[in-house]
Amino acid sequence: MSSEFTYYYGWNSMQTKIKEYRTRFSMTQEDLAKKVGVRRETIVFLERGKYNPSLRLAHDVARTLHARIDDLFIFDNEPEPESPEIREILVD
Amino acid sequence: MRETKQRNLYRIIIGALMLMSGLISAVFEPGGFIFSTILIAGGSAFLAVGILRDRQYRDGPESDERLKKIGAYGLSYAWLTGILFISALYWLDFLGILRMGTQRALGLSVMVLAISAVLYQMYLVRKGDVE
Repeated sequence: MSSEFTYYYGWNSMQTKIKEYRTRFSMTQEDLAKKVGVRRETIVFLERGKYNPSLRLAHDVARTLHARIDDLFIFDNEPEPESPEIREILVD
Repeated sequence: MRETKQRNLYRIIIGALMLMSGLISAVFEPGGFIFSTILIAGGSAFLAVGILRDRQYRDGPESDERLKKIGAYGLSYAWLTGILFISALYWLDFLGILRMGTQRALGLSVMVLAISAVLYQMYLVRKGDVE
């Protein structure tokens, strides 16, 4: 992912793969905007990583693009996910 | 989307009714100049906003979560600016540096609040988000 999609949110920067997934489905920004019920400009800022969406919008976009939220939105400096054993302990 | 169109339809109907009432009032009651002027100006504004928004946002939502968030933050920043401005006016008056009447001070405060809200919102819309 090129750095032009990088945006700093405090200590973190966000990158998105929305454009990549959207083009796989031959969707325009307008199509995606209509499907998730927002204005096209919002999709433009989302793709540039300049808009931090609500969980609802992130969920709707992910669902429309048949992806998971964490496939679409990637935060730099994100801590490594815990190992399955640690996750099991935390869940218990 | 249907809601937006309905809202614009209401704007157009209300605008047309106000405009017609203003014109009728101006013709049949020449003494009520202020009343008919308010009706004509308000009706024209409603009508213009209804028609323009309907044409501009025919196929999509007029507002979404990003714009609502920006709107709210813009108003918050404007409120803060207003507080600072009013505090400055108070201290300038208290120290005898600048004296102005209540009417002028209130008028200026209203202008600062309204204009700063619009400017903050314009800036945030261009920026994309509030953070």
